[in-house]
Amino acid sequence: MMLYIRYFIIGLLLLAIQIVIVPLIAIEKIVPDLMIIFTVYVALKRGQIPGTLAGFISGLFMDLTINFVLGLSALSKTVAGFVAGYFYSEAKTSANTETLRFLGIVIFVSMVDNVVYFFIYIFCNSLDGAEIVKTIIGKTIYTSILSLIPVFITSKETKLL
Amino acid sequence: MLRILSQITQHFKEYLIFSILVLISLLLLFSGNSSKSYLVARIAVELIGFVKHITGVFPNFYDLKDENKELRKTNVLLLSELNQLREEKLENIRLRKLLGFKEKQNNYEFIPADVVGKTLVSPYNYIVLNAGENDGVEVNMPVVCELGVVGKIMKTGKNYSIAMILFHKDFRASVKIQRSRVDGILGWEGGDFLSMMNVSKTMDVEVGDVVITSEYSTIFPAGFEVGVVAGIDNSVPGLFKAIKVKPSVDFTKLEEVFIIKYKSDFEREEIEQASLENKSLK
Repeated sequence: MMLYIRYFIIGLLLLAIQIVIVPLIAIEKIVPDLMIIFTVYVALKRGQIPGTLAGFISGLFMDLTINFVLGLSALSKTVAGFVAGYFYSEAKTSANTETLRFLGIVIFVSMVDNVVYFFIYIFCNSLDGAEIVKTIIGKTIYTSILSLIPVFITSKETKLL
Repeated sequence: MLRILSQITQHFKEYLIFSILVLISLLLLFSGNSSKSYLVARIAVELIGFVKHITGVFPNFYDLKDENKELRKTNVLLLSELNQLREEKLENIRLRKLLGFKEKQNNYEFIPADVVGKTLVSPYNYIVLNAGENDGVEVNMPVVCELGVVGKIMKTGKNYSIAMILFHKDFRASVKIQRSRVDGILGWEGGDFLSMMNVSKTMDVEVGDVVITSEYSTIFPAGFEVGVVAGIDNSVPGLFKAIKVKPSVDFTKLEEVFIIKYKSDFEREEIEQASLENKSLK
């Protein structure tokens, strides 16, 4: 239980960073998504259900504080957390989170998250297709670059591959 | 039955939880703004607004670079615009002076012209004007500006004309000292100053005296300022003083001029010419 409270606090801290600091490092209006890194991390460490829940809760908080479209990020991140859960392996948690494999998983999951997010966005609003593709790719790349930070932090020795 | 249900739930709990969460998300998404979500959103907006207000002082690092670039570009554009405005302001001042000058000299008909070319380093310096025969320009017409005499037309084209300026070896004009009415001939013998010739050593000329065109000139109307006496040398051999005249016009900055539609008095010229020929025959 304490572990999940810790995850919740870390998630809130990351959300605060997402709100306060991330807009300052935006490139061409593209911002990295720290919450998806968090969701993937939880999914790879704790399994599919915690990952799905982490995705839903972090998405919901993002909807409330960043997007102001309730349910949108919650849905996309629930899907992302669920997909990330497929990469969970009790025997490979370290290998998944402390090596460059984490980067690859983040790229894939982030792509899924963005596709779901923008698919609904297209459904709800009319947006330029090229602009959406640019945003999806940009956001995925930027997020995956930042996902290297937890890899470097958690990797005690140089065992990136 | 319950056991079977429990087993199924156990096997598919991931899908079950996932489905429930997706359903909740979709419900939230399509429920619109319920009163509860509205309240939460309002609080969130206030909170985010406050945070953004505080963090708004920190600029976006990437945008900062772009903004800097954009500002530099704008700066260059504004500087160019400023220079243009300054240029226009100066032109305006010059044109106003010209206008005032034209109004003052309203006895003559003026042809305005811009200096489109000039040569100031040769013994035969001239300026090219964008007014020609089509504008009524003729050879020997005087060229003046608001500061004084510039020169005279020496060649004309349909739309352009060339005027020799005071710093031209062949330029000659009858002038006089405005204060003492002493007459002389103005010419240029090289250097930065003009020379007022044929002025006797006994005549009253002082440094600072204004030199104007005289009534004896067959080309220039009388009374136009030519320059100011800058130096007098009585020690030169002969009967005449060596008088240096600083022209009123700065030819390096000359941009706009007026050509005066002032035609020589041919009858007078003929009589003068005849008189000279008679003298030489005697």
